[in-house]
Formats: sequence, C-alpha cells, structure tokens
Amino acid sequence: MITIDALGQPCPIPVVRAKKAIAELPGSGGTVEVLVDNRVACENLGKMADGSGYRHETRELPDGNFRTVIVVGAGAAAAVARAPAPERQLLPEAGAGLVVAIGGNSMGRGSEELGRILIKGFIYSLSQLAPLPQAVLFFNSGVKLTFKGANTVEDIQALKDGGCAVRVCGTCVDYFKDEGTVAVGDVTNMYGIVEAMNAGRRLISI
Amino acid sequence: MDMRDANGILSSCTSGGCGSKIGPGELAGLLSPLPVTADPDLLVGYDARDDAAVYRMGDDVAVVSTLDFFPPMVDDPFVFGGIAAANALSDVYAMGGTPLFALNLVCFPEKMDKAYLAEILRGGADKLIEAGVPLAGGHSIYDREIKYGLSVTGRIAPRRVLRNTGARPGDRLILTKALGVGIVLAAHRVGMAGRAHYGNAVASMLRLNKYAAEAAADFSPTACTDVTGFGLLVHAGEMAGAGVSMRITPGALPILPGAHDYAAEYLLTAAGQRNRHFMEGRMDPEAFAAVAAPVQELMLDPQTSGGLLFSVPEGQADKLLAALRAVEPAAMVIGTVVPRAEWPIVFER
Repeated sequence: MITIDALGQPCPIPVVRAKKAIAELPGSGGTVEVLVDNRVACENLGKMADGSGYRHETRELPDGNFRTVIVVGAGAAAAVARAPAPERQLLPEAGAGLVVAIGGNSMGRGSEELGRILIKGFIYSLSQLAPLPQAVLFFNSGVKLTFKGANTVEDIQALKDGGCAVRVCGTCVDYFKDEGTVAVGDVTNMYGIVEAMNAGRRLISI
Repeated sequence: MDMRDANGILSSCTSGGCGSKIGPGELAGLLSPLPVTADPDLLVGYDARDDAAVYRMGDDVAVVSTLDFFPPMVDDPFVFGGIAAANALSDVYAMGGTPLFALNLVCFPEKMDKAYLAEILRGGADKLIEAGVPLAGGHSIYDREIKYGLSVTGRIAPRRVLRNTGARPGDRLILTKALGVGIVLAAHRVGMAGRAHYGNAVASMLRLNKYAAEAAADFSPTACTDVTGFGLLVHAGEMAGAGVSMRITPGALPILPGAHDYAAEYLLTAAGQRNRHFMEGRMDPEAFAAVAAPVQELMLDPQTSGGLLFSVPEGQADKLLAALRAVEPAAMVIGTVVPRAEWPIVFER
C-alpha cells in the first residue's frame, strides 16, 4: 500500500498526488491511502475514484483528520498509466492542420433553438483554440452564420484575423440570397471547399 | 517585477481568490440569527443576499456600499492587485450603480518583502484608474497570510437599483464571462495549466464588469448579479428566489479554454464541492446527474471576478447579447426563467 500524507495541502493537490501514485501501481493493481485534513478533500478524491472505476472508503481519524483508501483493481492502474503523465501538460495545444466543415446553422439534432445556441458557442470556442484551425468551411444553411447581422460573424472574423482560412460555399450563398449577404469569409466553389478539406490533417464535420 | 520564485506565494496560501469564501450554507447559518435594526431607507440589506448594500439618502439618490478581499490566486502581485480591484468594483456594477471612491484593505506578513505589497497596491490602483474611481484611503494590518481587497462606495438612483431578484418567467439569462476560473487556477496551482489557458483565465478576471454594465444600461434587465465564489448555480439560485425557477442550458455555457479538460482530470477546488453541497435540495437532482461531470463542476466552480448574470425580457435578449458581446465576447444566453418549478434550478435536457 502506498501512503500519501496530504495534510495541510489544498485541493486539488491530494487528487493529483493520488493519481500519480495510482499510475505507478503495478498492472496487478493495489491500494493507495491518502491522509487529508478536511472532508471536502475526501469527497474530491471520491469523485476521482468513482469516475475512474476504483473502490474507495473514507474514515475520520481520532485526531480529526481523514483517511481515504482507494483500491485499484488489476488492469485499472495500467489504464491510468497509459494516460498522459501528470507532469506533462494535459492538453497538447494541438489543432494544427484542423479543418472544420459546418453544413448547417444549427448544431446537433433535437431542438433547432438549442442548436442555434450551440453553434454560436461552438464557433466562439473554435476562435479560442490555440493554435487556431487551419480552415473553417461553411456550406448549405451554414453559410447564414457568415451573413451580415448573424451573431457568429464577430467570432468568425476573429478566426479569420487569427490566420484561419474562412471559405463560404458560393452556390449556397446564392440559394439563400434572399436571407442576407456574406459579411465575413471568402466565397468559393466546391473545388475550393474540397481542396481545403484535402489539405487538412484532421477534418471535423458539423 | 517578477517575484514568484522568491516567494512561492501561492504555495503559502491555503486557498486563493473567491474560492476562500466561507461556504454559502455555513454563512447563511451565521447571518440569520443576527439582530438587526430595521430602517426603511436600507433598500438592500444582507438579508437579501444581494451583491451590495443600498441605502437611500433622498428621493433621487442612494448609496451603494460593498467590500471584498481575499488571498492571492495568481503569482504576480501586480496582477493580483488588479483582479482584487476588478472583483470589488464588480458588486457596484452588478447593482446598476456607479462607483464613487474606494478604500484599500490590506493584510500582509510582517517579515515579507514590502516590495511585493507595493506591487499589489500598484495593481489595485492601476485598475481603479481604468475604472475612473479615486482611491480615498484604507486600512493595513500584519497577518500571517497576504490578503487584499477594497471597500467600494457608489451612487445609484433608488428607482434604478438592479437587484438580484425580480426575474420574470420568459426572461432569458445572459452570462457575460466564461466559467472555469477556479478550475484553471487549480490546474495552475499544480503546474498543469497550459500557459495560454492560464493567460485567458487571468485576462478574464482582470476585465472590469463596468463595460458589460454600461452595455446593459440601454436595456431593462429585470435582475442582475455577479457570479463569484458561489459559482453559477448558487448565484442563479439566489436570483430565482422563491418566485421563479431558472432553467439552465448546460450546452450553452461559455467555458474558458482548457477548463473542461482540467475538470475532467478532477483538478477541482474545495469551494466547488462546498457549492455542490449547498445546491443539494435546490436543483433537479436527476437532470443534474444527467449533465456530464466536467460541466457539473464548471457550473459549481468558484469564479474570482466572474461575469454578470442578467435576466432580461425575451424581446431584448438578442440585442442585449449583441451589445454585451462587443465588450465580453464570451457572453451567451445560458437559460430561461420559468414559472416556479419543484426546484429553484432546473436544466434543459
């Protein structure tokens, strides 16, 4: 059993140290015991254990501190060990070569209204990626997101300003011409769209 | 000035920023038995659990008064000072008021290099200048841990007080800043936050809510509060009061870059867990359980210098959102006010 003395250490340090210890367990699994000085820290340890499929138990000690014991079964430790090591940056800020194809002005199925909220959040989030996507492509009703007055124009502009190629399907713009005009992006034909898709390393289609 | 290595300031603090607040449940228990003097001119007192106190001085003028202080949540003392000032001023903006002047509150270890304190004060003063608010004085004591904040006094017309209650069914809820400050700071504390993600969180905390409040001045929101240490759900629950329920759309929440992934790695705060306890019995448990775990954490995450949460009539929502996004690009419609349901907080499935 590995014992971690995390007394006096604020969240999320106990969880991080426990995960590190679990990652170092052999493939046959094992037990990690964490000493903390408050119940909330035990609860956060419990959430990590539950979410990872480990058994866990917490006892209050006579001195007012707490001991959480996490039991890791065979195979489970190896799964954690394969995950990125805690010292490394969690999110490799990768995204280079990403192409995003947006074929509608709503995201997902079920509720059109919700979908419109989601697509706005999606495009904003894209504009916050580092690095930015290589290209974002709009076709079918997706072109309306680039129209003058659309609440997504600003974020698409931010993408473009950051060096991301923004291409808008010309046939689609013509089809929806009664509903507005393009405020941001380069109007292109299907060849331009396919070319951008082919040039990317990864393609996400919405 | 960079003194982070010399002082290891964050590691000396047990918790920083608004995550240090006493839990909402515990606080309510402490406040409710206090004797109070009734005064008809005290328009907003602590019983309202609003952002700031409002005291009427005459038919056309009232004073808004608030104070906020906490331990550092970032390494750079100048940045910490700026965040503390932005956070303290926010309560006045959330009431619809205009800050008039501010007083410093300082706790500082006797043996620590005073150059560090000088930087904190400079950061606070710099932010006050941006807000156009004069510094009028302050109070400083020795303490084992650093704490800094300000007391801010503002003015407001009694008829224009923007309370945290008053939301009406059909209103849309707009949140101006992205959630996840507490989680990104927790990741930073253990050296796991990406540089760009940490930078984004700091920039968000430093941004004055003054601009969002000004953008909303041409509209008629029915309620407003700032989202701080109690997280989105507790603050939204306060806004629901006893009259309405807030239907939150988890998929529409603005989230700081990186925060979702850090939450998925359980880089969580103690304050977020305290907020979760407080919300038990105050939100639809089944619908909440159906929300992905990282998003649950983001809705409970303590926000230092978080955004404003507006309740606005549906007909004004699009235009207000557009006006807000000019100054707060992450602003989103995050839900709807509905007639009182079984719980103050319900969720769009």
